[in-house]
Amino acid sequence: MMQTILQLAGLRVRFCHRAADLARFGAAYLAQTDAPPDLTLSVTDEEIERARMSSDGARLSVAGGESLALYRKLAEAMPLFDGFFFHAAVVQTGGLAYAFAGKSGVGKSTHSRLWQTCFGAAYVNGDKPLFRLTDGRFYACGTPWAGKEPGQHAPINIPLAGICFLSQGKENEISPLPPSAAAGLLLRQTLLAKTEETAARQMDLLCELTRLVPLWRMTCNISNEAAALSYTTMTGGAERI
Amino acid sequence: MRRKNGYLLREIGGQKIVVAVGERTRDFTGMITFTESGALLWEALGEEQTEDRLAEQLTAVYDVPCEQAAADVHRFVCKMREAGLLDES
Repeated sequence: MMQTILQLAGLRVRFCHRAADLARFGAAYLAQTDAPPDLTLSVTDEEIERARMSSDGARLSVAGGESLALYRKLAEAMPLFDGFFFHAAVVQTGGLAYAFAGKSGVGKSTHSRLWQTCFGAAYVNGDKPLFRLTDGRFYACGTPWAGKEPGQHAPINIPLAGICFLSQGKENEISPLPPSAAAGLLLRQTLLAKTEETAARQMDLLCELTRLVPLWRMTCNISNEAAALSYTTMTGGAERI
Repeated sequence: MRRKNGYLLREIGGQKIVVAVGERTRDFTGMITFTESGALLWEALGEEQTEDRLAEQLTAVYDVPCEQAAADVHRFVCKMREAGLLDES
C-alpha cells in the first residue's frame, strides 16, 4: 500500500492506495511538510469497482477507478471540515473565483474558457472543485480531479464570489437566483454524504452558501456576448437587484 | 403511522427541504419542499401518530379551525403515503 499526502482545500489529506499514481497525478498538491494529516482515506475493492463504471458506459482502469473512489471518499468526509464537493467549472480573475454549474453539455467548460480567452481568467478547477467555508467565507479549492482535459486545475484556494447556473437558450439573459429557489439546483451539483449527521452538516453548509455567495441563473447561447454578459454581471459591473 | 427513517429535514435558502440519506436514496431521489406547517407535521411523525393527534398539534401552533386542521392533515398524510414515506404497520 502506498501513501500520498496532498494539500487540498487547506487540509492535509493522506491517501492510501495501490494502483493509482497519486504522487504524479497530484504532483502540484504534494504536502511539503511532515505535519500529521488532517484525515486519512482508503477505499475497498468494491468501491473501486463501482467507481470504474462511468456514466457513459466506458470503464475506467483500476488505477482510474481507485483515484475516483478516493476522491468520492474525500467528498464524503468534507462536510466534517466545513466543505463539500461541487460539480462545476470554476475560474478565477481579480483574486475572486466564479463557478459555472449546469447539466452536462450545457456549456460550462466553453463558458469558462471564454472567460479565459476574453478576460484573462484562469482555471481553479474545470469540473470537480471543493468549496470550503473558512472564517465566514467560502473558498473554491483546486484539486487534481478536474475533468478530461489536462491543465484544468491549480493548487489554489480562492474566495468564491458567485455561482451561475447555466441553461441553453437563444437569448442571453442573466438574473439573480433567489435563495428560496436554490436548494434543488445546489443539491444536484453535490454528492450528499451517506450518513445522516454528515449530510445534515452538508445541507447546513449549502444554506450558508445561499447567504454568503451571490447566485445567478443564466440562459445563454455559446458566444463571446454570453461570456461578456456573465462577466460584467458577476464581477459587479451590473448591480444586483 | 410514523415517517420512515433515512430522511433528513433541513432548511436551505429559507425553504424546508426533505431529502433521502444513505441506503434510503435507493427508494427516493430528489427532494420534497415543505411549508412551515408541513415541516411541523413531518417532525411530529418522527413518533407514532394518528391523524387526530397530528391535527391537535396543528391547532396548538396555528390559528385554524379544527375541521380545517383535520382536512389539512388528511391531505398531507395522503401525499406522504403516496410518496411512500410512511410506516403504517
